[in-house]
Amino acid sequence: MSRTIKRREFFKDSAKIGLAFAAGCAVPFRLAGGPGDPAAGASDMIAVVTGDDFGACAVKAVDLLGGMKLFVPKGSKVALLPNVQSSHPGTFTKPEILRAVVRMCKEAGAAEVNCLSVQLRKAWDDTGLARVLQEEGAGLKLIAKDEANFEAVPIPGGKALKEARILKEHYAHSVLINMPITKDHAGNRFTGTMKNLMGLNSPASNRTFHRPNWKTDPSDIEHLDQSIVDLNTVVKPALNIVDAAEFIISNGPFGPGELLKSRKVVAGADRVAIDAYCCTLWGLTGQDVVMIKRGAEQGLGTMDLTKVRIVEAAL
Amino acid sequence: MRGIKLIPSPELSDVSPELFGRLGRALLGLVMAVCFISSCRTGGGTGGLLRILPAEGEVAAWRMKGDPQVFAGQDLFTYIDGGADIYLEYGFRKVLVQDYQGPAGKTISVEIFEMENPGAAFGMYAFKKGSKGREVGGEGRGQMGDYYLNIWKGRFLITLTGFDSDSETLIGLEALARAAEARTGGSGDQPRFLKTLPAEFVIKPSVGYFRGLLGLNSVLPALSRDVSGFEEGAAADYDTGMSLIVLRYPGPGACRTAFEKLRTALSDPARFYEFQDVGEDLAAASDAKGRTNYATPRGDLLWIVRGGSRAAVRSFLAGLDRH
Repeated sequence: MSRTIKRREFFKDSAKIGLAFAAGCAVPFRLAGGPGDPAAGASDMIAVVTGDDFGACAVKAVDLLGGMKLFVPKGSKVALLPNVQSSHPGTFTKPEILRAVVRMCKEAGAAEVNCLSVQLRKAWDDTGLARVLQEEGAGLKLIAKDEANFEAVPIPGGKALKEARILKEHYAHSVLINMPITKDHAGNRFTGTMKNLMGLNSPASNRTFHRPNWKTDPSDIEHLDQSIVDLNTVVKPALNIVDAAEFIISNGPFGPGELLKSRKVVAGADRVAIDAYCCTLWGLTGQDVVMIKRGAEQGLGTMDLTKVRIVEAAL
Repeated sequence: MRGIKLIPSPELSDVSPELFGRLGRALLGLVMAVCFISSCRTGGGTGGLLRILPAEGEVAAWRMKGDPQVFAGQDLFTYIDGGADIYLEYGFRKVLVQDYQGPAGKTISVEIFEMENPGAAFGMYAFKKGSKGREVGGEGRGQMGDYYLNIWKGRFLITLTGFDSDSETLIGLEALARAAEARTGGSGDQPRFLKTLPAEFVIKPSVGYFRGLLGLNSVLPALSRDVSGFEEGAAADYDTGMSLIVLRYPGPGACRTAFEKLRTALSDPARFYEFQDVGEDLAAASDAKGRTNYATPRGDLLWIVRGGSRAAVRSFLAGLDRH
């Protein structure tokens, strides 16, 4: 049955669409699960897929959330942030997961897909990630650590970090997909979605996360966790796809270390929930990780996994 | 001599062009180059580490791939972005990184860390090696994991990483490690403080040594922030199911202060259960994982006993009193 739209309704709807479009242009990264956001249905859910084909696990995980089209609108310019910290096994996002994500973005209609990084080209070559990008027709934007390439972003209510310094190139994209590998970390005990966003912040600013007296002053260690949480209040990925397939559980984040092969890919919008889930894979709980606790306290997400819809599948 | 990529420090790379001008920068570059070449020739700087690298052809079938890289002091953050703190906590000087190419295209990465002293090298070794693995190079000297090998000697820690667990890789790891160790000077004496730990029933691969909170955090995460101010520490697991952590403070007063802070933490019902204030010098409470944590000060040493049967703990504490 067709429905006739009255003139007043037409103008009202047009105004809404116009406002939504304007908001979309003004806010460089869509917050998945926000009011009226097409990904709202996936905001309280995380998908966990277990299997040996990690690329297929990534595809299935995103399908369980509703498909990549929920997060990547047609014509969008997508920034990907895989972890490329070291080429030691279990310390970097696996190339097959990156390949799957690039393909999903393109299939969803992305106009452009790029990885952003301040790491050395060698790291991208040694991990095999550069080759994947080349083969899939995605871009690799290696940006010099020069402070001129970063934009000052105030953090209202930041407890440890009052201002972030975010890659300017980041704001030339319309969607951010955060792609960490979960693993051990000597300072935080854990690294996952929230800590990975330090990859968008300037190295000079990141160094302020590590205070000089961490050796003797416990509050200096917690300063790192709090700074990460503060940073996460101003950088909001539309989607997080986490490599929890094979990762180090000792001597992190650089390795080499003991490998845990849990064969999982975890995806979702709620960074706190994902991190709280991933740390359980090697016997921690969200309560054990200051960053996760503070993230939950500051309303970034849900740490209590009994309140999170965890949808699991095996391939 | 092979070319070396020396990563400049941020302080130097941030020098203002307005301040120095083109001529100033050219002079600065010249001075840096002269200093660098001079340091290599005298065996200081990178030269000392280059000497330890297995030479071309020294280990059959393994050849150097690319140029070595050296990172010194705070520049470790450039190499180990986000994970340099633990090295700096133990006392880091510089690291040389060199890849080797072997049979069937296998690659091994060799990292030679020069630490401030043998204690720092052992501490970092114990932190990195993990709990599982096969001993190599003599007792307590080196350990082979699934795809990597750590070995220490004098003030040097050598980490070799393969990228799979194939036999060619594992054979290469061991051969390159032995060649590098043979080129390393200094003794392999462990820190004397480790002798504080009782030797009977100790599980040797579990022995750790700390110089700060990050290292301690790996074995005592629930309490590390409550025991700050120590100068060095040691830990080990025992066949009795008990774990011991001993921390040395600048003096008995500082140790007593730390103990009182720890006692307060153990009595916090939001963090621990079943707190027992057993006299002036002993406090105990159970953690979220059901393990009992006992704490007691003895002079400048703070002892923390975790887990184990009551009989084992009682016997250990009685032994402390006898000493």
